[in-house]
Amino acid sequence: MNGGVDCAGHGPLAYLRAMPAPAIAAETRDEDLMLAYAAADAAAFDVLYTRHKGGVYRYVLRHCGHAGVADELFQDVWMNVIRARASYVPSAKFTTWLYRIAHNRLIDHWRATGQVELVTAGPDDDTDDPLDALPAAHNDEPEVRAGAREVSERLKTAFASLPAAQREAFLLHQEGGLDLAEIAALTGSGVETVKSRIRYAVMKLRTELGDLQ
Amino acid sequence: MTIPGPRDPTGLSDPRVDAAWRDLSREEPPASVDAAVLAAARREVGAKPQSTGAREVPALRRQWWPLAAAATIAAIAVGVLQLTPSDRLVAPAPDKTVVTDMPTTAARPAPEKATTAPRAEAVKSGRGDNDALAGGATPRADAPRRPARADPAPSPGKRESAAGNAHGMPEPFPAAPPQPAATGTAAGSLAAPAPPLRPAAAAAAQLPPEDAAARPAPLAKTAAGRATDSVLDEARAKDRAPLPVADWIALIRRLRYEGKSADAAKELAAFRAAHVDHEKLLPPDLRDWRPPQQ
Repeated sequence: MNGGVDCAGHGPLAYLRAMPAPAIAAETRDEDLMLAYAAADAAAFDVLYTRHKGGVYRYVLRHCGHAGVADELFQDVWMNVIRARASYVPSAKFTTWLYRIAHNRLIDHWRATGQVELVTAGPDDDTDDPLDALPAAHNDEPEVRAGAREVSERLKTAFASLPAAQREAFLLHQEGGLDLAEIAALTGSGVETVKSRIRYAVMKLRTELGDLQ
Repeated sequence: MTIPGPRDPTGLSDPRVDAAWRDLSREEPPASVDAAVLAAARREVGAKPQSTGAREVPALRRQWWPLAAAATIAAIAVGVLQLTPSDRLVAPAPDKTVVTDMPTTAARPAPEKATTAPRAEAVKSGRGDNDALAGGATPRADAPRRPARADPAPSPGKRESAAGNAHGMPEPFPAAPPQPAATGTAAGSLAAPAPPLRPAAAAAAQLPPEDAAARPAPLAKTAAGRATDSVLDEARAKDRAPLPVADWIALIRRLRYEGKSADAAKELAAFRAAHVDHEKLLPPDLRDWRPPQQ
């Protein structure tokens, strides 16, 4: 789940790779890194950002489906992390806190774009999470599917066709590394509901990949 | 495509799906976004290093030190003003005090001791006129000469020279520094009770002729004082009734320091003629004084 390191070898982040490794061990917990950053240790934030930037970015990108919007939302998420550093209390996993910020930012984005108003909750929903009410993306149109020949593209297309609640649970599980209880707490859903969502998402994706065996 | 592993019995993961997802998940934020985020992170903590456990505070609270410095300076200034004696704040420079005949209650610094000394001396010398004058109920309007001067406790040396330093005149004795208010009051203290607040001219106009003649001329530089002087001088010229010793000495001094040396010499001669023991009564500056030859 850790975000990959920028492998370009140049660019704005080249100085980060050139910098000597700070006195932060690789196994330092995220919570300790965040506390260190709250204590003005900028290097701790660098490590945290390097670890999680990929997961958060993909979490946002898979939800909104547009790179430009994802860039903006992703930056907002980390700016919120920076601003909230002083109030951070390691009562839970850092990733739970981080993805909660991302989750809330996404909801704000959907509310701002009016998407939440277009949807209604299903009869079997046991939560008021706005993600539950979001409709599935419409990327599974025939013309779209025809262009997705690569596995990754087909997977991406299949994922985009999932209901938002399933996408949310699946992404938090895959990209955030959160377990069922953490996802349930973050989304305000029951653990069993989260488990069902993930199971349905995996089943759908497996079905899409079935003919690529 | 990676080799799929055994299927998860819970259905929460599938090896093929996981592998495909890992292959798919290569997107990274643009380098510009990385740079912006990291720069913001460094800027937030770089400009204001925080100690461990420190909490972010609003901008106004972060900029507390200029306000604290201003408040401290203001508090020190108020404290210094509070600790400064009030007389230093309000007392004008002695040399710049306006001389007036207007008696005020603000400066009546003459202590009782200063008033009793000349009176006792007068009684001792057997002069009944001093007793009559001191016992008179007519208040002196010219007693306080320097109302703004607050020096209620003159030194003994000052008291000794009080009779010779009457009416706010410059101190002729080098040994005694100028203390116009205290000494002036002491010289006028033959009318011991504190006078009511009344202009000198009005007081002089209300005096009976003999009392007015017996009064020393006020020595103020005001017009009212000068008018009173002239009235008293005329009365004294008509009736050469002897003045009280202190007042007579004060008159001689006033004439001397006003440049009227001839008048001063005349009065001094009259004083000597009126008092056999003038050598004893006259202060040293008048005892040895000779009018300059014209």
